[in-house]
Amino acid sequence: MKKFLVNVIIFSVLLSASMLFVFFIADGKSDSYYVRFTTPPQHSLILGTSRAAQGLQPAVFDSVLNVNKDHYFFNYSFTINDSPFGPAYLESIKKKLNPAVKDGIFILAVDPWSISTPEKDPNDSTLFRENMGFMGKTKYVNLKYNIPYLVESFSEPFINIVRKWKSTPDMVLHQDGWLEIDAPMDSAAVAKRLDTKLKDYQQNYLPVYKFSTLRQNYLLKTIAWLQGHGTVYMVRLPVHPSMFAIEDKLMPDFDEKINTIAGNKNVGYLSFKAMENNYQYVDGNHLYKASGKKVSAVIAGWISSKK
Amino acid sequence: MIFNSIPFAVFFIVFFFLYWFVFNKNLRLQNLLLLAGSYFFYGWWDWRFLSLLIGSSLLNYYLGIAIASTTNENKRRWLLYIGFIQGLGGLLFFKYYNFFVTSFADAFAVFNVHFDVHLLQLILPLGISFYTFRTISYLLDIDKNKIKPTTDWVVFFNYVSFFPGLISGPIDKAKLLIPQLENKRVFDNSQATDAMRQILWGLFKKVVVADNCADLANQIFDGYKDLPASTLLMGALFYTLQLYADFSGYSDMALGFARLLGFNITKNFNFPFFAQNIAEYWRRWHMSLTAWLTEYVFTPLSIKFRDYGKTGLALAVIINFTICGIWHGANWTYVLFGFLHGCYFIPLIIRDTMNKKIKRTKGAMLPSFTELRNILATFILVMLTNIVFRADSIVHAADYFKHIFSMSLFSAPVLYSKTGTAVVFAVIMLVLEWVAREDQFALATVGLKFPKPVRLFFYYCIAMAIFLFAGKEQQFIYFQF
Repeated sequence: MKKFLVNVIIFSVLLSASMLFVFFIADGKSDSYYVRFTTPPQHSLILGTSRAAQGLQPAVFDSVLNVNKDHYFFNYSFTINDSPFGPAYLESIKKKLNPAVKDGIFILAVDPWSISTPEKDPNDSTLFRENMGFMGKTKYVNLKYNIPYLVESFSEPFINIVRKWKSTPDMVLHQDGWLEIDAPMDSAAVAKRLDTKLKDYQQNYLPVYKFSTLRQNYLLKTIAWLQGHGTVYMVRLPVHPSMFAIEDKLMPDFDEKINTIAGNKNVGYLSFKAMENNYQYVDGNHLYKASGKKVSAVIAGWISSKK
Repeated sequence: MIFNSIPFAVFFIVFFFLYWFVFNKNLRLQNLLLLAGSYFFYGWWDWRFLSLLIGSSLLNYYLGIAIASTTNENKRRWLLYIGFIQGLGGLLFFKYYNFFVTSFADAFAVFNVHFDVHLLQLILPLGISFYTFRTISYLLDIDKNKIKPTTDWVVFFNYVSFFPGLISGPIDKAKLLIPQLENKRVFDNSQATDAMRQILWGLFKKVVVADNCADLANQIFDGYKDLPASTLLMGALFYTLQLYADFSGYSDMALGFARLLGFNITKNFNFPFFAQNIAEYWRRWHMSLTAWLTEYVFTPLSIKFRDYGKTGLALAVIINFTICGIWHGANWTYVLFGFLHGCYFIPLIIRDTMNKKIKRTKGAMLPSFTELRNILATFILVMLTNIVFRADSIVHAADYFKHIFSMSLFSAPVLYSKTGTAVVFAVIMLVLEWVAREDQFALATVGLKFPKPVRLFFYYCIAMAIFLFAGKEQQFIYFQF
């Protein structure tokens, strides 16, 4: 028995060491979320879905608003599937924000999809899909090496962590939470991606998504909770005009809805819908990084003017 | 709790130490721990169905004693019937109630007679098909005086619910497991090391081969209408590999965990993909079920039909395999699957080769031409029939076949991101199993002759492959049966 146990233990130690090595090399190239769960609790947050994740660059906000190092912005936005306003996202935000913060700045990127849902009953929170995904499952959001996340929620085989480790990928999640995407931006490639994205939203999203009062209430709850820790600003990020047209079909009164909320909650709201739209998009839905920088600067300037 | 999960790993480590270091002095205490462990394992999934498991064990324990204690044939019959009604009744109710009711209503609808059917929202208790077959065989063996009933309830309850084989078998016979439960187990170092190799191999098959093939098979079966026939054929191949790697992987792990506790349970697979005809295939695939059905269904039927010669034999085989099909679940696809397999025996029956021992070249690295031809023919037959097994309905299966037999069969198949991974690991699995085909499992001898550091590195590579290439976690297919 002793010999057997010694052999098993030696083998297990070797194996565990190799596994830990793989976990330790996981970084911003491994997937589009991991790094956000590996940083300490934050001071100022950028919240929303993938539009904000790719479009809003914390470094630009830090620079324009001239914040000191301890108060740097952190992009804690995910995707339309994982971070629409709801119970899972709110709980995650509560864990990510340093509880001692009282003067934080919170930028909430809102759009019609983030207060809608494809579930049959849009007001049944038990059906919210993000509860079953990594947003609902990730209990620890501030671990330097977030092994629980990797074990429970990492959606690819672990070999991909090794493969991407020394590669030059087209996607990097930076330490400040900004998701940088590198894509060919020649007109043919952009037109193709735009066409695919518009078709996807037109055919797969628009027919099933419905406005959810419950999600809107969670937007209100999120604002209320964040107001206890600083100042909240809401923004509607620019998208391609054809994407705005689809959103108008889903929720034609979206801007009025948000303006009402902003008025009631005493929160600033900046909508890019009526503004000049000369930005570059990766696929019509996400700002290209150069344009994201400009939009981040516009928003930072607007916040600065409001202060 | 499933074998390839962290909760099971924690449970088994704690259980192993209690079993061998704390409760090893007293057999009864060790058996009580085993029972508690089995119930904990089962209750982790849904504790409410523990009552069914315990109730079934209690009734069959007393029925066994009662059958053995009477010589009155009539009374024995009735006691046996009570056991059947409880066992098969539970199975029919949970597994087949809705199926029979809807099939009955559909049959009447053909004659324009319609009535409302009341379907029940039932959850199939995990492992019910497996432990019910254990209790039935126990009673039948007592009735036929093949075994004596145990008078130790802890032993019997353990026989019914022994956790390594509780959820997906193997379906152990009482004469194999009960004596082991009645006698003190001794820890054997080489047996335990071999068991670890078997668990490692089972995990590899399940997590790397089955789960990666499952991803591909699911994509292809779900989107078959828009895919070329060559890809559909690939889908059938991946599903066949998935089914084997999933179930035999589970069985290897079950055998391995049992061996770590000092038990030898029934081997369930003997490299079925190397079978040279369908009869041999079934002697190598899900062997405990095949043996069970052969003993309690096929043999009595073939005796009953013996006056009809080969026709009677064919009828017995077809009925036997139709029951085998429906054992898998309440769907006409399973009935058809079993029926087809039964029909595949007809050429063997006509040529009197059903039970003929097949010549095979022992120890050769490569198969002979005849062997290869037979192996491929059997494999293709099994693979095509698995389309019926995998399909949601007969219509789905028929449509899948319709799409396969088209000109696009000769076009290049669609390749998915995981195709390479799945193919590489499936080939590794098949090659290692071919090399070890005379042994109990692939790692039983492969690697044993290597120098120790090389051997350890070989096992390390397999373990790392499990960690690095694990497919998206899929439930064990046979859990649903």
